Amino acid sequence: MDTLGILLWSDWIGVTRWFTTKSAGKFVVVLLFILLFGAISYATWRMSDIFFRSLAIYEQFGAITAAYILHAAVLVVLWLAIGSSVASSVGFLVSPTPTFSYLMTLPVQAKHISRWLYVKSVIANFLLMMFAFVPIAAAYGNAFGAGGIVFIMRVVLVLLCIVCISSGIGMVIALASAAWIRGKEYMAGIAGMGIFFTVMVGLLKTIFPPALSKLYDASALEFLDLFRTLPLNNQGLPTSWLSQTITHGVSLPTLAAAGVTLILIYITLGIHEKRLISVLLRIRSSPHSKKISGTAMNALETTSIPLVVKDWLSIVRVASELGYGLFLVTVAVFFFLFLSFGIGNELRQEIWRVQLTVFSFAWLVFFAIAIYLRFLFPLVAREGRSAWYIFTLPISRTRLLFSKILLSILVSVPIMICSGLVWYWLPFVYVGRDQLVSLTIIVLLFVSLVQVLMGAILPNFSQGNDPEKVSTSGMGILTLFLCGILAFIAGLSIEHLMKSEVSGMVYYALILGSGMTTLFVLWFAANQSMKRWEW
Amino acid sequence: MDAIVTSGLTKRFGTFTAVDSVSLAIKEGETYALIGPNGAGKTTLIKILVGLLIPTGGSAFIFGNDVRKNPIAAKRMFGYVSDDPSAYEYLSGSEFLTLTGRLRGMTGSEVSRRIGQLTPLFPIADIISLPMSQYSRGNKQKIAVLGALLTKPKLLIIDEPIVGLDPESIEILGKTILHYTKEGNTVFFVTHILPFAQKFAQRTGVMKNGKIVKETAITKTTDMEKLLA
Repeated sequence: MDTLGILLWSDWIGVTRWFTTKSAGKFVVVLLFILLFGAISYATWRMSDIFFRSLAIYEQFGAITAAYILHAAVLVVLWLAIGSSVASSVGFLVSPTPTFSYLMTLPVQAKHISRWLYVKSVIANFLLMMFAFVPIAAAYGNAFGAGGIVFIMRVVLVLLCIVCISSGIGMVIALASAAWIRGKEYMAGIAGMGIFFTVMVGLLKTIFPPALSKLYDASALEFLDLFRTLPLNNQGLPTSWLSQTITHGVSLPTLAAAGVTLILIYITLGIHEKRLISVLLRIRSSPHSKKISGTAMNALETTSIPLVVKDWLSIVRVASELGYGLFLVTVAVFFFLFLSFGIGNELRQEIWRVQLTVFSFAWLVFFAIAIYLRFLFPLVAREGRSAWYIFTLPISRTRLLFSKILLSILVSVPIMICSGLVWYWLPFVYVGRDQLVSLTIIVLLFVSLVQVLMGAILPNFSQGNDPEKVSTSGMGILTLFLCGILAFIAGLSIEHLMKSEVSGMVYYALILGSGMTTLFVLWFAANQSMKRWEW
Repeated sequence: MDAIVTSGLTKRFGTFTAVDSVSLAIKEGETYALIGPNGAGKTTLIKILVGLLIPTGGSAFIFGNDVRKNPIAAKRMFGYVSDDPSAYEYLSGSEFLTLTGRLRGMTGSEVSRRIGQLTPLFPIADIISLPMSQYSRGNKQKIAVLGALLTKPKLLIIDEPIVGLDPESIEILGKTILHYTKEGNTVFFVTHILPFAQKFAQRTGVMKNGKIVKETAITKTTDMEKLLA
């Protein structure tokens, strides 16, 4: 076996060992993950299916509009994949794992390390983007009768090209910026998200120019004239070659896309191989000392809630946490921008308005749950290696739990405000806004408290330094599902309320009743389990 | 009053007995070193005393406060330094000390004044404003010791006090312990470093297989190696 094979084999051992130790628990985690991502994919597919089917009735006009939308999806997924690749590559370079540090001491050539990292990046990106892209492409195929194994293979080929290109570009951007980022992770995170977000907005404006909304009312001739002016109709764009591979089958553009992909892989891997070790050594050899401002010190001296201040600092001072938070917020903002620009005021059928409102609510709660799961659920487990300290101080464990609850409410407030604003922003929501806002606030408050209480029942202290692992543990996934059930009940209530099938009283009683009952049970369980913690 | 009293203290993990019916009494003003091989149960015993583990049987008192029934009162009496002194690496040393003081009931100005008194103890002026993630183990240990001393508790409990410390800091810590006990306070520590125990402790207990098998006063002529044999 060659060096690259050995490196990949060691990863494979890691994956298989993960499954073979505590198999029952891991099986549940994997199953829940599959269910979760399956649900997200299904929701995406369902909405895309409705959308593409509505276009399919306009025959060739609908078909070219759908092809345009698919091209837009290719572009968006490519940008998302580049962003994801840059973030993970920078994180790896700035904070290499102990295993990688060990690898650096072995006589392994840079080209093998580069290729190993590249293959891993491609696999991870492929799996991640698959959940976003495949449902959209499948819905297109379904609506325009292009299903079947060959169609699926074309979709996979396009996705593979996207992730191969994005992984290569992402790794090179990371190499170019990592040395500068180290020690300035906080600012770099904000700057990175700013760039990502600005480009995303630019992309959206490009994809959905004002001319697009005029297509709905245009005559056949006007339609073609308008359609030709749309910016993504340039056949010379490599993303156009990729989307044509899905919409028109394998042809010359497919070969051109594959060629461009191979050339980009060759160039980016070449740069990576040449620069990787020198960049890593430069990062590690440079002085690295973070300064801390005196603001937090003053807050700790004067506040009456030092535990809350301490936990707040545990979020805002850890660059990876802050970066993840910014990433999620950016994706959420992008998603609702997409929804707003993409659909605009064109929805005239009531049923679509109701469905889109419920769909938006589901995604709003999903983004909030994702943020809470990362920042609120692990609040107790985050004590981690510091548990020896906090549990030997003369403070009661109930007070500790209350401090976590208070922080969760404080973290929820800006999310609630932003969520409320979303209902005033989305153009297809124009009735029942106040009820939607109040319901969203209630649900988000319940969900945040559920997260922190669930996190206190079986905190995984041994993974306290890695909130990502804590939030993706069996208990984390269970929490996700519990929150999902609460959100589902709320979503159903919204649907029935908007269809005037239930009264406002019933709707609030249902949400408040299920939420309060859940919180009562969880509070009891969390408080009892706090008393049993050992360290 | 005795600073620490345990009676039949036992801790089992499944079928393994880590602490086996330990009865111990440490007088106020005494410096007591608990020594023993790896896995003898020393750290487990300390963790029960400071409230990190729940005993399977027996009882433990800190200045008359039952550590199970009245844990908050017991915890007010001692300062504790863990064998792994890592804590809140996103905080600076001075923020960590401020947090400790505030959580132990001091006002902001009291904490600030006390930190000013304590920090000259170790040469840490250059690093105290940096995040603890950048500290060496020894420097984390120094901050943890200062945190334990912050509220002038009557009892100091230290698990492996000198691991990671440089010779100068070991000497400083030893002298701090001596000075601390001279003021009538009590120190209970666990160590593998026998010369340190011999130099700074007044009495020692040898722990093996979860039991305290020997207890003796320490003098300059005590053969510590022989005690462990």
